[in-house]
Amino acid sequence: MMALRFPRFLQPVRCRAALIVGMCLLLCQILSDSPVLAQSKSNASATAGASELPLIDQPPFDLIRLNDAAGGRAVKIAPIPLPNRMIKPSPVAGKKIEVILLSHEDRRYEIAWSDIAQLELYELMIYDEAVRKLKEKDFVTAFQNLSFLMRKYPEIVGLERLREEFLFNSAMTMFASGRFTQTLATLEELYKTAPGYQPDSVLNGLNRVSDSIIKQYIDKNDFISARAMLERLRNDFSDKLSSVRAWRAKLQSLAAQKKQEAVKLMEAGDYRNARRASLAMLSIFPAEAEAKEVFNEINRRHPMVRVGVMQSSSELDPASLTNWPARRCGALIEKPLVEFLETGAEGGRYGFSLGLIRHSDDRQELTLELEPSLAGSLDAFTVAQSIFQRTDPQHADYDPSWAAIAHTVSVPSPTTIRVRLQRPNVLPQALMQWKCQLASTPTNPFDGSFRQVDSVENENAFQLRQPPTERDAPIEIIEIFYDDPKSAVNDLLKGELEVLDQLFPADATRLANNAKIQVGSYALPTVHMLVPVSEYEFLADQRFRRALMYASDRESILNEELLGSTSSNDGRIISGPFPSGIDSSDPLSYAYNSAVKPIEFEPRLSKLLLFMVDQDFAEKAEKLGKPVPQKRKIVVATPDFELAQVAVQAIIQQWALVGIDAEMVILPRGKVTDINTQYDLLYVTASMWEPLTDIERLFGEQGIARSNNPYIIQALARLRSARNWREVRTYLQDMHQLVDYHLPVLPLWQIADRFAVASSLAGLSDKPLTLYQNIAAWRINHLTADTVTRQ
Amino acid sequence: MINCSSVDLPIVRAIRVSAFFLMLLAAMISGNSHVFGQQVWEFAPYRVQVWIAFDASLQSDDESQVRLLGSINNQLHAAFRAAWSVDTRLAPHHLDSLYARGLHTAGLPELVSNEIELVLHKDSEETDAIRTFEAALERLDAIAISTRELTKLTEAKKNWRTDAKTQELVEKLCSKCVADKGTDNELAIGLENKSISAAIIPRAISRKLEKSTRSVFLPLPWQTEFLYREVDKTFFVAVRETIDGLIVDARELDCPMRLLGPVISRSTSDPAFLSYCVRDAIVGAFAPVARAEQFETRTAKLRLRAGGLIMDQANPAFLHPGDVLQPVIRRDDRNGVPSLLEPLPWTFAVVTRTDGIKLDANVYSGIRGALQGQRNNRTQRILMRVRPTADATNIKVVVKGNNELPQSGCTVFARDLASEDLKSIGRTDWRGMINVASHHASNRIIPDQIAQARAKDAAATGSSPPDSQIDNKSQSSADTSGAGASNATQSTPTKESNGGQKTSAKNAEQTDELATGDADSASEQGPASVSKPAVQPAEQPFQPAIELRQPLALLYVKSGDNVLARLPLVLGLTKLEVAELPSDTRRLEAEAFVKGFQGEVLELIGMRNMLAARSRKLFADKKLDEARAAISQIRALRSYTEMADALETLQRKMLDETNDPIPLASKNRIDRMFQVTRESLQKYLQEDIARKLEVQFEQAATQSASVPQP
Repeated sequence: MMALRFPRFLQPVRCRAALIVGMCLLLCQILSDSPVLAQSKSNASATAGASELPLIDQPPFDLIRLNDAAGGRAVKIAPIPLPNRMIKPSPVAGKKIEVILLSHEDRRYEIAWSDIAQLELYELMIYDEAVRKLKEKDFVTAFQNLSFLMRKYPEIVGLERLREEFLFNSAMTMFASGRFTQTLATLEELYKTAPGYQPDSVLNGLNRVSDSIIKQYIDKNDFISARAMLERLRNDFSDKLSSVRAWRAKLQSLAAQKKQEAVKLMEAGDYRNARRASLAMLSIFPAEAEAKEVFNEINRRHPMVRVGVMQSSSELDPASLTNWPARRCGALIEKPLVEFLETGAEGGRYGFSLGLIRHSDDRQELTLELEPSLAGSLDAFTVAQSIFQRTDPQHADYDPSWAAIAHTVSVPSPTTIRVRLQRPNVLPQALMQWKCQLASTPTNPFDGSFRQVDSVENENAFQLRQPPTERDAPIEIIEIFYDDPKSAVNDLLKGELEVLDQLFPADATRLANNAKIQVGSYALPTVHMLVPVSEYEFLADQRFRRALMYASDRESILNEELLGSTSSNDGRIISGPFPSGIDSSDPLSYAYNSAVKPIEFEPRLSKLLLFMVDQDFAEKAEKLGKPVPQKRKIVVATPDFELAQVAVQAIIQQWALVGIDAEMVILPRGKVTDINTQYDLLYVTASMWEPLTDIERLFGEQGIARSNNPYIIQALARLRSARNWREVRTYLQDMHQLVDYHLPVLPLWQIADRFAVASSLAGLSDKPLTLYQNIAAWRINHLTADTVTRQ
Repeated sequence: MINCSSVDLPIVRAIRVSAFFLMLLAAMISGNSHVFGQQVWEFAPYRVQVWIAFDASLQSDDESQVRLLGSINNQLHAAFRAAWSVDTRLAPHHLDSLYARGLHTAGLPELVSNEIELVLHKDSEETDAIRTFEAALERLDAIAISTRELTKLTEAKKNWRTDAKTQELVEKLCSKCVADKGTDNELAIGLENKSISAAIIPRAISRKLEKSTRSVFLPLPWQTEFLYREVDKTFFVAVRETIDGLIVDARELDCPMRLLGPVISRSTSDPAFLSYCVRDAIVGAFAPVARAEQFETRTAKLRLRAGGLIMDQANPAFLHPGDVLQPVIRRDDRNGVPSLLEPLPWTFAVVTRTDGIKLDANVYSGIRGALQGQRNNRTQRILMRVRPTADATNIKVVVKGNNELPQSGCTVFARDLASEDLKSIGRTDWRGMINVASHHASNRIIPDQIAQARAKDAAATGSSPPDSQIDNKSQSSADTSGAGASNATQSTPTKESNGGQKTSAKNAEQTDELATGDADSASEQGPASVSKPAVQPAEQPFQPAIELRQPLALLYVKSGDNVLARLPLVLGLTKLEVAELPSDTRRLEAEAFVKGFQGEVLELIGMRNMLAARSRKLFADKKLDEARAAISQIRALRSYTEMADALETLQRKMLDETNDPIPLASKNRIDRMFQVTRESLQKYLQEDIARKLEVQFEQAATQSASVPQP
């Protein structure tokens, strides 16, 4: 039995399934909206009566037209059980057939063959209609009828011919309307299933349509797709298609042209465009040794890494708590005074950018020793001055958290700075992760190994400050911003990118299966939260904020919308602003109070709390003789980052279910806050790697979630007074409890962020803190003769 | 309508003028040239000394200087008329260095440090009985003095014109002085080892000899000690030249109260206007003085110095309604030597009505009974008009008894003195510091009498007191609202009442009455809203609110739900004010946890009731399994016992004094918070609601089973 098969579209393999689904959807769209369909429906109605359904949707019936002597009526009867549903050419005169009228199904009638003028079988009526519709170019109705017949009545004579004509005619019509991929698929189907059907015409059609398609790819510089298409057509049709031969020749010429262009640009020192041209060349003929050599030569002369980023940076801060891109790029450009190196058993381990740092045994003094090599360019007094200025409320660099613990800064020798603290402090150096500008020094000792060279709309370029000392070490990093994670992943797969800075958790799982891509995770997770920032009186009420929490099904948002997994290693719900670590033995979890359980999804309780808040506000307003405050739409701001946007949209939808009206605004690109945008809540992604000091950076006077809550402020002051780690843990866990009680921020989840690296780049550490942490070890892998490119 | 500032009624003026001349006549008859030895306060003009120093760059001859001094004197006379008896002269040379450094650097110790005094050894027979200058002149044959000081003394005597009596005394002193070859320090050593029994040495040196020596006042008219006794106000005026022109700095020393005012500067680019400029600076630096006659808790009756001599409201010595005054207390010992000289902290009065001499004032104080206290002849309560010079004041809140320990995170509110509206200003930072700008000050006040009457009327009509605002504000701005049954309304600050809120004070007598308790303040009755004309009593004559002439703010310092202090303050009067308040740390810490716990209780109650209602509905709908499931959900919630145990544990933790003792007042408040929470638990959670529902359902099922079927 022959089945009507859907055309196989000639698309790159990874897209085919999606395109088929898309095609079906398109067909559905056509079915529902097409005026042709409307017309066909009306025609069917004309045939079967105004109130009747199309034939294929009616219960099967045959139609008997009586001759004039018998009354001339047409009667619908149940299908007659004829052998093979074939009507004998001359039935025996006087014989009768037993029929069941559809109008009287409980009775049987006999009709003499002689009284029958015409007997129309159900399937033939449909066949006739299909033929008619094909002539009328109503392909939708024709397709429906044809499909029905092939499923139910495949033995009808002429059905196969009708199918071939349908395919051919519809292909011609689609070609005329510019739907080339559909035309190609249809003609291929026709050619394969009916090679004898007008072979010249079909091959001619295939030639024309493939030519148009490849031209479209080339015009879009999508050489990979063009090449894939040519390869497939050559495999399927050998050399029967002249267009394939012509395009192969053209592509070869184009590859040569790209090669020339690449070489020329390389010689001119325009390595960025040279690389682009060589990538195009490689995408046309990836296996060509000469092409690989040009590509390698460009990389040898100017090793370059292209990094896809989901968040672009508008500022640079290597120690930023809440600005992921600022921290990422900041690490390239500059060094903080003190740098977080890794987590340790008791807090993090820190390094002094200019030498060594020592914390005294009584924990009341810090000694910073400058490297002897800096002796000529930098003196301790300049650094000490910078440290001291942070304690001066009148100074632009004033840091209240630091001022609260520092007592004196002295310079006992030209290379030594001594900081006396007001009281013992377990980790004062964690507060010294400052960007420093020492105006009096000719060269800034805090400069990172790269400098920013240019920044166009979607690209930020950074170049090495000093000539490289190591072969194949990247001397230029180009960050390309993507607002669509899918296209970033596609570009990584295509070889346009070497690194993807952040992966949508669900993409990470998918990419992990690709042998040419290495998916890594960052050493420490990020903590996500909503921070109330406005004076909106409802939001200032703790019960209202708790209602927001009870109305948010964080578990399902995290697992279903963001992670696509339920593994707690990928992410988990948290009850406070601190990371919970992987388990209680994780040193990062020292601040997390596991006795505080995350607020559960309880929409009923949320509604109850909202009701209570409303009542309370109304009573207060009445008492004061003031109007009752009106609720308004809560505005939730989110950085221009897909994950955050998905999360916020999901939360807003859930809030709507309990009657909380909210909307999302997206902050300008590269910003994590914006004074020019009005919003009530801010989606914050924080790198809370040192809870002891990061909580101060979060809730403190200069923090993004600076709190007016006296309980939080007091808890911060108490934390500052902690003299040992036992007290630190106790106070932090108390702080966690207080945050859960009073919700100065709405904690959401922690996520283990991931990145992806192509095999063309080596040297990324297994679990870096930030992407560029060990950029000095990065090396470009050159293509070898047997290297198969990712295309 | 009576206008409170209308004081120039002809009859009043006539009485005043007559009284003045009667006084003058009486003085002439008595033949006492020192007319104001027994002064009538309101008819005694201020005795004013103006000392002017010119920058070295301003070269002028003696004649020009004399002319300028005369011109300044005339200007001042024209401004103050009879209210001032002023003498203007060049500043004595011993103050040259002080003028050079700038007047703002001068404190009283700096003023007197270069001045000389007679120092006698305590144990010397020769000096044993000497207590006064006159006795010293009589009994001592010689007084040692260094050559340097003798030269300065002789020169000053020659240059300083004074009255005959003083001149004679100075002459006598000089005749007794014997120049010693030694330096002042050597003379001091001689005094200490009794080789010298009497010597004249600078105060900076004599201060070190206080144990073995006694000082005697020298009536040298160019010295500050003389001014303290003989003058009411001294103005130090410095004229300096800058590229922008001439700058005149003036600073007042109130002599009886020994209080230095702020430096007031004026400038002119034309030297011809220098005398006007000096006058303006002095007028700006001058603080009219009033004496407290009667004090109530919230009001005072005052009497204006030289008020009877002021004929014109434009006179700078006049006090207008709306002028803000700061009380200063002087208490003398039996010898008339002041033992206490101090502005009353956190206390100000605002003139609400004046007839030119008698003033009515509203009193705003953070201290209970600030102006009250023992009345006697040796205690003076003087009020001086404030002269704010800055745009803001920093307030530093510290723990009483430990200035090093800041109270961070306290929310500061400003209450409008007329409308009584509250406005959150901000919170203290990690240093316990908050900057309060002048614009937070009130613009107007209501005379207390009217405010009280309105409050009574408001109470009668049942209007809500504006106290509740602070609770509301704190909810929105300080983000402190608790989910539980908040007792915030119990602890909100009330308006001034019988004594108002207590606050810290520097002096010992006040420190016992420091800041309020939260619940205590709730019981205080204050005036209700005065901003509603509707509640104004009909019989009360309409009187508009009085515009404040200086920026007075009434601040409340709140820690969590507890009001720590009520602090009236003239903003910009000083750059920094330190408020020493009882430590609230432990109570606040307990409140943080208890409020959170109360929130949990509230949510638990809500869940229980919601599930109970749901189960009843399901039962009524004959969905028995689902009803039972709802009951199971109730059982799965935290029980009363669990919550009570958790509360008990929390209480133990909060009252733990192992490392840090808890002040008794805080402890009581913590206990009270826990008690309230415990009562809530008992009231709402003790009942086994799940069991009760089951019983109800069983009974209902039994009843329906026993009903005979039709």
